[in-house]
Amino acid sequence: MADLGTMSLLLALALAVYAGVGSVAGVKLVSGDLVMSARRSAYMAGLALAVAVGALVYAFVTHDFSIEYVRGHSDLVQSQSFTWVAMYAGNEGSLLYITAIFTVMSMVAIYVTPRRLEPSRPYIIAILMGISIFFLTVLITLADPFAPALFDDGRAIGINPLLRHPGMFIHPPLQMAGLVGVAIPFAFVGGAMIAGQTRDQWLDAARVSAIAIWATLSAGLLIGAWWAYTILGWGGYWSWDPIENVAIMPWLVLTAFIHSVMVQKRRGMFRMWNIALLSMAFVLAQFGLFINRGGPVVSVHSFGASTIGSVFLGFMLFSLLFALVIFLWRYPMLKSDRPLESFLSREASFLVNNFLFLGVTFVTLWGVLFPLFSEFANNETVTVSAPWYNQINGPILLAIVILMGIGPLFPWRRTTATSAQRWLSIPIGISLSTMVLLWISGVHELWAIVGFGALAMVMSAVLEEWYRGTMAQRRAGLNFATGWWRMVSGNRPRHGGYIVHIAIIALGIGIIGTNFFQQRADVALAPGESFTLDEYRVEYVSTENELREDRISEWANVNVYKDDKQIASLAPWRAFYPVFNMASVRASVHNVPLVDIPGLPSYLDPGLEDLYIVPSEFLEDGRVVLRISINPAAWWLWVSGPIFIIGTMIALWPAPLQERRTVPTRTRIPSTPRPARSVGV
Amino acid sequence: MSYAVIIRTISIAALLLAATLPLFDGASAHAQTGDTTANDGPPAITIGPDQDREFEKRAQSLEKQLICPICPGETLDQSFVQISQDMKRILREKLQEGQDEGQIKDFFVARYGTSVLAAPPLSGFNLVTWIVPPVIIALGVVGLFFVMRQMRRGSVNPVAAGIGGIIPGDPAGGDLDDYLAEVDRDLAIDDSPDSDQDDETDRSSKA
Amino acid sequence: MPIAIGAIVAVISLIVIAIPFIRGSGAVLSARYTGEVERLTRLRSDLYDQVGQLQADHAANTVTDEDYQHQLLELRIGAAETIRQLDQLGYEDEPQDAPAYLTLESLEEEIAALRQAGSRRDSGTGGESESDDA
Repeated sequence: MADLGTMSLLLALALAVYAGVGSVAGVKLVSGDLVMSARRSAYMAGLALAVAVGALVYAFVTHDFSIEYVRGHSDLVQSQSFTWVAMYAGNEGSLLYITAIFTVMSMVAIYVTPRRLEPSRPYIIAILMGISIFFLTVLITLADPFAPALFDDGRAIGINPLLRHPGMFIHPPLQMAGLVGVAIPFAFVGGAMIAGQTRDQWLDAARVSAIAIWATLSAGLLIGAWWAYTILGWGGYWSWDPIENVAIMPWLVLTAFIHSVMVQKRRGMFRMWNIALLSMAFVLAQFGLFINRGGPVVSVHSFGASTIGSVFLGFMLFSLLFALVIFLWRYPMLKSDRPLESFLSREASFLVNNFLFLGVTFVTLWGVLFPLFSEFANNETVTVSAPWYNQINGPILLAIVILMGIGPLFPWRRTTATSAQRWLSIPIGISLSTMVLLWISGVHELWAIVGFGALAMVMSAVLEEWYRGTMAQRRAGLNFATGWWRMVSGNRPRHGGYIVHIAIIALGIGIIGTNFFQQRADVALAPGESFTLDEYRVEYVSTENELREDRISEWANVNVYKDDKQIASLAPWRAFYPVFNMASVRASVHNVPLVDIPGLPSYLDPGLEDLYIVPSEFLEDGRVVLRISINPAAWWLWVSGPIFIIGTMIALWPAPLQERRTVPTRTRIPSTPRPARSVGV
Repeated sequence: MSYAVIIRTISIAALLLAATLPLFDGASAHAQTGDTTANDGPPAITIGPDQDREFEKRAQSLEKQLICPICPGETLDQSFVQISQDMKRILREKLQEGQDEGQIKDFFVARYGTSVLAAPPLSGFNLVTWIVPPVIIALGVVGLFFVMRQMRRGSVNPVAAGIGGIIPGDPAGGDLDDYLAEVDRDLAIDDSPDSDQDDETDRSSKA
Repeated sequence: MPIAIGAIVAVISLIVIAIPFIRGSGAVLSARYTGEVERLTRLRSDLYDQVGQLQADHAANTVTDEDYQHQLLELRIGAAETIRQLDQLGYEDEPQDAPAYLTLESLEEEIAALRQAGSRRDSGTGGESESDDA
């Protein structure tokens, strides 16, 4: 299997080189055959990589411990399902996965390149293959997943205990695919720039691929947060850890891009800026690779130190240079079609949006890099962690939410200050009323109140837009539901975007609730003893344990009562893995519903708060130390996921009528007579 | 300041910053949430039914501001290892004695170094962490203002101005009228300014 | 056995890559032409979309009457200009019906015609400012 794997990697490298070089050579030599052949070679490279991945998975599943990587990330006792995904648990294997998924995504991108981008396609292929070639070279020379085991003593260790969780099946593949996929919109733009197609032919391809990758990243980040919530034991889901930060930075820049590309589509403005954004996102994704693999920062997520870190740094700098060069080369052709007519316009609000998102990106980058800077300049190690990020990024994120509430209401081009005051009064009024209501009902946490007020503004903006649009449809004779749907279908990007904004509202509610109103207690309980936190009485019943081949599991049976009624019976557990000298916990999370919808399982009911219990220690005298937390509004964090997906799908859904529109057969004679010509490619 | 200048500046700054990185030795600690099986002694932190909630809140808030010395980036609040438990206990003892947050933090810094704080202290060189972001953002706001002003004066591309190259209000050439008529047929618009065609269903006649 | 699989994949790849040379595919330069045709077609389609959205916004009172008239005129003129440029490209048939093959001579004529169209375009119209090095 190792031989097949190595063969496939070498084959993929050869095919990728031929694809990249052949595409450009075919254009220069005016050989359509060579261009076609090179394109097919790109597809074949994807096949070869799929074979390589298959070989590695096969090696895992058949416990081929003659391969070092398999030996290092699986054993005979870990649960079989994890063996299937252990392939991407470590550095070399995850790199193979990244290369394979990137090449597959490239295949799709190449295949669906619209015909108006046809002249650029060879260059797009060249860029995509160039990136694949880089990864393949690193795989073959520095990070070979098929390297033979040094000592074949039959000893193997499984994957890290923290990874033995359902999240392992979804989060890494999604997250890695998203990060590497940031290169795809960049390739569309880069190829178009090289080919000279500077008239926005690349716009739709870049926009659609950017949104798809953005959605992938969003899903990856959210699932990662959920994973952390249930396995790390303190009820946290985001800690501004360096690896988390480098994953969110491309996401932030892509969010900025998704917004400002609307201005380019509608008004022909911000062209250079959008290209710069895509380049920035691409370089930041490379930066993430560098930090992730042998970068100089410390994190729970680190794959570990290795020499390949500097290789990724080098590639990142090369990418930066490449982007700068092609950008500066085509710079004169990229000027805006139109001026900015007013500060009070949607275009201007998108500019502010971009500024704020880049602000958060900068702050995050600064936080990641400052410890290194401090070591270098001041010879002192400092930690930059959640408290710093929350204090600095918090206000900027709040500003973004406020902008979400008023931005969509601005019309294009310009509006007067008086009319702006008029229609701004509604969301501001709703926001103020919300804040006052909260204060009256006893909430006195200032930042939380402001946050909820801002979220209320966002909701009011969306509802206002939908009300006006649906009313217009109603005037044409439709009922509410059909009218609303007709309005949404009429402008899918915009209304899909509004649904995504609603997802952000849900996320925001969850963040404010868990951040500001969490209650926590660590208690030692003997069997039969109870502890009351807020309205919940937690009773410890008993402990059971189980000795497995790879771990010792203990779990605490716990009953939860509210108002003297039992609402849950939970069994949070803790497992110790002797081989790793490591423990991992699994929290029991009970969603206390806001409203109990009959027929729905409790985790689907809209949540008021989470009751979160984790056993932190099993004492020798029979007592157990439990950490009991109440996490208000945590359910809303996770419900934002499906809403995100719905919104993105609507935004991306191609409108059928427009797509099938064909140019009608023309009967008029053109002013300069020319023989009829049928052409194709 | 034009966009290009801003982008170039940011790119150069990022390049310079990235260029300093190879000077650091890439050694990431691979410590994980470890623990020992042996539970010697009473558990470090527990609260009984009669414990003071306010006090506990203060203690927990302090826990979130200190980093476990042997864990990769975890605060005391997040970490379950023995050393974290010890630190939590000491912290609570000191709070009981009446010490304030600053004194307790100083105590730990003296023992473990500045990196035990979850955020850099507001003094000396580390002030830079706190000052740079607001300064950059303030500069950004100023820059944004100037950029928007310059965009208002318009760096319009004369070749590309307008959609498809026609500046509105100046139909270049007479034969555009025929084409305009064709467009109107496609769109099924009538010429009256107060047309109430607000529904895309009429668009089915468009080819 | 594993090596056999690898060999098979390699052979398949070689065959797939070689096929265009054996069969003789379409030329590359017509890509410019169809690229331009599709760009204009897509542009017209987008402009029609925007008209629809503009009308929906106007009906929902998010656009003033004055802005509505101005933007509608812009969009109509833009669409008209797109059709005019399509005409100047000598475009008569639907691209989907076109055959896949092309001779080199017809291509050269095509390029010459494109260049003629480019020089005959009214001044001030948006042109594809492409470099000639592809």
